[in-house]
Amino acid sequence: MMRRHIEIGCLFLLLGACQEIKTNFELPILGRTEIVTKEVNGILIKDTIPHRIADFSFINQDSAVITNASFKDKIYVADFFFINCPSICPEMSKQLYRVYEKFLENENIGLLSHTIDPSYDTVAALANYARLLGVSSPKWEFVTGDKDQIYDIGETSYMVVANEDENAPGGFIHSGAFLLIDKERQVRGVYDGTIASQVDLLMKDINRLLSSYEQ
Amino acid sequence: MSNNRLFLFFFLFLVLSCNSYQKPAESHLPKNLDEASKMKYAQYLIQGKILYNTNCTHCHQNSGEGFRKLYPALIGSAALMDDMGPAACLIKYGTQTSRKASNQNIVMPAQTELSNLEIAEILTYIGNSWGNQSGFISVSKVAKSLVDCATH
Repeated sequence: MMRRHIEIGCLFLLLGACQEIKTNFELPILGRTEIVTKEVNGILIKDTIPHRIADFSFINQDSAVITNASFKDKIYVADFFFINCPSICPEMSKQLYRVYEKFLENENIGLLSHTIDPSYDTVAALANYARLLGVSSPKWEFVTGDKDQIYDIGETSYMVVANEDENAPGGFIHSGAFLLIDKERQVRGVYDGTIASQVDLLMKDINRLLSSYEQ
Repeated sequence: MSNNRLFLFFFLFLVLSCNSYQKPAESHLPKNLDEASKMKYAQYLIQGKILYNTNCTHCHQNSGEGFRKLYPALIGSAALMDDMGPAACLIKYGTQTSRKASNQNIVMPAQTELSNLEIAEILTYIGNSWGNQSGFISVSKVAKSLVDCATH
């Protein structure tokens, strides 16, 4: 009888320990760090610069200019889509809408959807899309802008694929990833925006990241 | 001993009660059909479901509920139930909108690779699932609708 008690006790201890490891887990900082050599007081020293989201300037669904400053002191989720995308975007919108609903009241969280088809997805088209989806700025920014700038920031800052490809459904090939960006403009997580369980994880990670700022 | 029996009883009870639980049928099949029509109907429903799941669920969802105002629901739509003809045209040719008219719904893509039979199967599935009851949609009905919308 005593032994049984000890066994059960051990089991609980183990479970408890696992739980603790999980909650204390800190999200990684993703991306390649850059090593630069600079001169300080006449001595050459090497410094590492972590990967950060580059400066950007786009136009949102309300014709307002959206830059990095729009997400100052905010954690945000970024993705790349286009309105008439027949394949993965409907599911991505559905999943990101879950994130929108969950963090609607939290001003520290923002969403940023870039169109990769700016010639079709004009400000008016994006405004219409946001209206049909029933979401609004500044919580959820839909942005358009210079095509090269969008593709460039997608590839170099967010590390996702976005390109025109006439063989792909809808004429564009792109990743369905959601990127979690922290207040320091660093990438803290990559999630498949077409899979509900991945988006569950994203929402958990958002909370985890939020609580890391409260400490 | 009696404890074990009680446990066994409970276990059996659980298993049996699970078995006796029947999910409400997703697709509806009219009752007064002869065997041959019933067979054909059932085939359309099965094929239609497979085709629907590959070609339509991205937007209209497995449940036919659509999503927000972006993708219309296929359940309880009076216009859809009234006449499936326009729906055949929508599946085949998509929505034709000009690029300037942005204040409308999202464009439905054309799926010209679908045959008349496949469209009939999809429509039969949509028209008789999730509570919809619009009867059997034949290939000839689809063919006629497609001619009609091509000429208009």
